[in-house]
This record gives sequence, structure tokens and C-alpha cells, in this order.
Amino acid sequence: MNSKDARKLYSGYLEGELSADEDDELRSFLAASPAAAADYRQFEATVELLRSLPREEAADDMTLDIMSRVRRARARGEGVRVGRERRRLKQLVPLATMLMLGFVFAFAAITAGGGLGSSGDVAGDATVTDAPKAFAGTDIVPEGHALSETFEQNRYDRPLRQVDSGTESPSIVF
Amino acid sequence: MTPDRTRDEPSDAPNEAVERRAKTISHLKLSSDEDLMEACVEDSEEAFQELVNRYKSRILNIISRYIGDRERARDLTQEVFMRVFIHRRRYRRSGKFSTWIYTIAVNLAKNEIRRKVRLSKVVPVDTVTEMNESGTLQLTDEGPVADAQLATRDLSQTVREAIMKLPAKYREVLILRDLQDLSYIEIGEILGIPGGTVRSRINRARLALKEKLTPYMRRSGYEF
Repeated sequence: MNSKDARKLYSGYLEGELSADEDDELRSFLAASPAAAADYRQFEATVELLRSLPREEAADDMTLDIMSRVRRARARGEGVRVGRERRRLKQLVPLATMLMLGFVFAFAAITAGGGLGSSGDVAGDATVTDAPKAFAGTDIVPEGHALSETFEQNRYDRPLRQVDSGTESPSIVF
Repeated sequence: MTPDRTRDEPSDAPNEAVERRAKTISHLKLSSDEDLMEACVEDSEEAFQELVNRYKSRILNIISRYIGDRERARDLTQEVFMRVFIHRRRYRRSGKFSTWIYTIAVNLAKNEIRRKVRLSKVVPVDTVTEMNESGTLQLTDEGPVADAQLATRDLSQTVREAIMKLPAKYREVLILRDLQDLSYIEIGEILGIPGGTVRSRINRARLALKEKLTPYMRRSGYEF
């Protein structure tokens, strides 16, 4: 063992944490070297001096100051349970926004295409229904269907002709 | 049929309230830190105040020794407790409360050092000598003292200054071990380093301090 190796064991030796072999080896080394023994005594005295430094005591009014600050923070809502709920709400906002945008786009797509089945846009006894695809581009109103009395855009963006409810036979216009 | 209480008979309500409060206080003083923290999560102000009383001096010591500025250490100590209060619901009982609060304190102390470095434009974080010459710990009593006490006081002041001159990684383990008596395990948890590293740093810190202090100790009458 040399001085450098011995110094690595000083703290363990001081605190009784060395293994039996390490303890014996260091003890023998210190016993054999007065310089090393003095070096270890300086180390030991330094740690004792360090540990004997007076501890600072916080003043009593520090507790009062801290509690005042806590009460003020609580009055402002800091650290209150609702804060957690606000955070959850903030996390839900993007999700809600996406859902809303999804609904808006879906609605726009549906209305632009004429709807899933035209809703009951009723005027009197007449109802408007989707023209089957076979009649795309024509003004034929399928048998059994009636038109509303007002002009409307069919789902193919062509004006429908006005037809009296049941009094006029539809005619084919090419 | 119970007799009505007359106006002349004293009410028992205030005495009962005092008794209840006394029981609450004694119960709090016997409670563990972790039990008090659970009560704090349920918004018990008294439990929080008990924790403040238990830890304010320890936290002040750690921060004061770390940054070498007692006045600023007081502000930061308050800040530690404010953070404990605001984030109390983050505390998990699986860990020791002391580890949690010491971690907050050490992190605030480190941030303060970084802040001072930025303000003073000193590049190395560990070069704290110049910064702390104006911010070293002041003893509370500056009145005339006997020579022996003056020598002791000078040595204590010298020890504090020598601690401040250590690199931060040595200073923090020294403060937590030799000034706060924390275990190696707890120090490792607070600083996020393995136990072996804690041990080796403490040994090196003590050796470094020994080199700085031996001349002063000899002048103060120590014999080796």
C-alpha cells in the first residue's frame, strides 16, 4: 500500500465501513508510517471540524411568512384541486376541437352531395326525394315521387321544374 | 329533562375547542413526515405548518452552505416550501418525504448558482470564489469577543469559505453528508448518482478540504 491508495480508504476507515482486510492493511500502513499517520489525523480533524460547524436555525417568523404565502396562493387558486381539472380540460380541448372539425367537414360533405336522403323538406303535401342515379342529367321525376312546389336544386345541381302536386304529368326533357 | 343553561354558567365550547386543538397539535407532532404529507394533500394547513417547522432549518442550512448567501438562502427556503405546497399532489408515499424536499432544495440551490454565473458572466460554474467573497455567510453577532473565541470564529468562517471554494459536485455531497447527516443512499437518491460515486466524491471532498484547512487549523492550535 502507498499513500495514494491509503487516502482512498480514509473515509471508509473513519466511518467503519472497510472490510476486515482493508481495515487491517490501512491500520498496518498508518502504524508503519508517521507521516501517513499525521496525514490521517489531519483528515479526521477536518471532518470533525466540519461536523461541528454551528447549524443555522431558521427564525420563527419564517414559518409565519411561509404560511401567509401559502394562504395567498390558495386564494389565487394555485395548488388547488381545480387546477388539476383545468389541466385535464386543457388536454381535452385539442381532442374536442378535432371532433368538432370532423363533424363540420362531414356535414359539409353531406350537404354538398345532397345529403344522405333528403330530409323532410316539406311544402304542403309534396316531398322531395333523391332522384335515382339512373335519371342523372334528366328532369324526369321518378314515378311515385312528387316535387315540392318550390324550385330547388337537385343533387345533380340542376334546377327541378315546378310541378303542381299531382295535376300535371311530368314530361321528359332532354 | 336537562336543565337549561343559565347566562351565568360558562360555556364549555371554547374549552373543548382548545382541547381539540391541543390534541390535534400533539397528534401532528407524533405523525411521520409521510403522514403529514398525506394530510397536506387533503389540504390540512396544520399538517403543512408542522412540516415547515420540522424542515425549515435543515433546508436553510443546505441552501445557505451551497450558495454562500444567507439572505438569498432565506428566500429560496421559502420557495422550497411553496413548491412543496403547490406540487403536493405529486408526492408519492413510496418515497421518503425528506428525499423529496431535499431534492427540491438542492435543485433550487443549483439554479441559483447558475443564475449568479449568468449575471456575473463568470464562465465556469465551479469558479465561485470571486462571486462569493461578497456573499459569504455572515455571523450574526459581530460584537467584541475573547481571543480564543475570535480564533474559533475565524476558523469557522474559514471553513465556510473553503467549502464554497470546492467544486459544486464535492460541495453538495459534503453538505448533505457532514452537515446534514444524510445516509449515502439518500444522498444518491437526491443527487441521482450511484452509492459508489457518493462515497468516492465524499472522500475526495474531505481530502480537498483537508488540504485547504490544515494550515489554518495549525494556526488555531490544532496538533497532528
